[in-house]
This record gives sequence, C-alpha cells and structure tokens, in this order.
Amino acid sequence: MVTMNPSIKRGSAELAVLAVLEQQPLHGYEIARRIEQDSNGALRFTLASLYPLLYRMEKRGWTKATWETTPAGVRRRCYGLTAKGVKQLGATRLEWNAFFHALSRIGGLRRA
Amino acid sequence: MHSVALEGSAVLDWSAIVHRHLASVCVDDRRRREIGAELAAHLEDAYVAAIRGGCTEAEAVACAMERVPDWSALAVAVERSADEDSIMTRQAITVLLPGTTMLLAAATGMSLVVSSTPPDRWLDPRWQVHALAAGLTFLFYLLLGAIGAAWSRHVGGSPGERLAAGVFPLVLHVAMAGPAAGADMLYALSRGGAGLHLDINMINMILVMLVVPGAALLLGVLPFARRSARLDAQ
Repeated sequence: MVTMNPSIKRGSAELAVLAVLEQQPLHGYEIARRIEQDSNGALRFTLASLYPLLYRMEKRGWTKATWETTPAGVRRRCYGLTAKGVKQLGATRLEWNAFFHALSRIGGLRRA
Repeated sequence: MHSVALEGSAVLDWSAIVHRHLASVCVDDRRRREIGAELAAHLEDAYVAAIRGGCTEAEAVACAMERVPDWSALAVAVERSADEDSIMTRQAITVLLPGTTMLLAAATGMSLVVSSTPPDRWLDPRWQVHALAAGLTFLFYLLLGAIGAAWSRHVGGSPGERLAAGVFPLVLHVAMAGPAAGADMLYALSRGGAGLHLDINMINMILVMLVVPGAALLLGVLPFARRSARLDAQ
C-alpha cells in the first residue's frame, strides 16, 4: 500500500464520498469503511475529516440525511445522493479525469 | 443511547465521551445533540466491528478512538463546517442578533411609555408613583437581559457572548446619556473649567440611564451566564 499525501487525500475525499453514496445511502461509519476497503486502505477517514465534509455536502444540497432505525433498533443517520449530488459527482469525475490525463502526459503516470 | 455493554465489562457510553469533548462547539443545542449522536454511533460501530474482528475490549476501544486523533481539531472542523456557508459570523448569531433585538425591544418599550404617559404624571409628587415606575422598568430590563442571554445560550454562545448579548440594550442608554454628559462637561468647561463637577442632575441621569438598567440587565443575565451542566452533558 502506498502512503498518500494528506493534501491529495483531502482533494479526493469529496469524489470518494459521492462515489460510494452513488451505489446506496449509507451512514457515516459505513461510508468510511467502504472507502477504506475499496481504496485498499489508502483513503482512511478520521471523524474530523469525514463529518465536516458530510455536513458541507448536505448544506450544499448534494446529499440528504435522514435518521433511520436498523432492524436491531439502532438509530443511524443515513446519507443519500440528491439529484444535485448526482450532477456534482459527474462534474467532479470529469475534473479528476482531466486532471489525471494532464498529469499522465506530464508525469508519465499509468493506470494501476 | 450509544452505549455498549460487554460481558464482564463496564458500559461504554460513547455519547457521553463525544458530548464531553464537543461541549464548546458553537452550534445550536438541537444540532449539537444530533452531531453528538451521529459521532457516538460512528465510534460505537468502529468498536463493535473491532470486537467482532477478534480484538479485546481494550484494543477495540483504542481502535475506535483512533478515529479521533485530536478532539479539538474535530470540534473546530465541525464548527467551521456549520459556519462555512452561513452569511452571519458566530458573533453575529450569538451576540448581535439577540442583543440588537433586545435593544429594539427596550427602545420600543421606552417610547411606548413616554408617548402613553400623561405629562402631569411625570411631575406627580407622590414617591410611590415613581417607585412603581422604577420597579416596573427594573423588571422590564431584567427580562430583556434574561431573554438576550438565554437566546445567545440557545444558539451556542459562550458565557462571555451571553453576557454581551444580555447587556447589549445598555448601548441605547449610553448613546442617549453620553451626549448629555458630554454637553454638560463642555458647558462646565466653557464656564472656566474649575466648575467641572457632577451636579445632582447628572448623578440622577447616570443612575437612571446607566446604573439601574445596567444592574437589571446583569441580574437577568446571571442565571444564563454560567455554562449549563445539563446542556453540556447532553
């Protein structure tokens, strides 16, 4: 596993969260767990990095959060993508694609 | 309630841990409770996942707490995310908004009293009339101070901000009494300066315009100025 620079992590966190929420609504712990698992441990969130991001996304209307009770009777705040969030995800993907293309031309990057 | 009981172990109250660390975050009480419940749920999930993964209780607690390497950084980040898109700054919400509202209430109350009181009543020789008016005014300002401070506390104001919001109507009195005191001093100076003193009318004005309403506002603020143990524990 490659150790990732924190500033690269911060920049990519928005895309990571939007992308996992595209599949299904999730609560905070599950969002962090999926991202960590899918990135093979490269992207790991602390509470200080995850929740402020989730609150900002909610305020911008990209996500909508609702309290749900699990079958075990535990309350969790689940985040789902809104139409605005789906649109934002598309725009963010385009930006990152353009960024990677530019970097690959300059820095000789190749897809893993 | 986000607490976990394990065989042979004490109950871990994640909510209490989170609320203790986030007590100073400047958001309204309802939002603070919601954030606290959500973060406590996250830590509880991390803890339970670690236990299921074969960790001991101590290892699981450490694993959950790894998610918060710095509580003060978390508090700052949560507060910033709440403020980010807000038009108003923290002080505008916790001091200026409640303070100016109470100031407007004071101004409205004063102008209503002045416009509705017959002129001869101001010169009423009975001391009881003046005492009643002074008592009612004192109670009115006590109430304004209490409402201003309670409002500020409700939106997450610190004790200092609650005090500022509560005594804010005094700005109105300073604005009215200040020019009068200044004019009086200039008048005294123009007559040679040696006569610069506070005459009885000036002392009365300072008492009526500043000391009495200031004391009433302060008394009203007091019950709300201290950090609430109940709210902080939630």
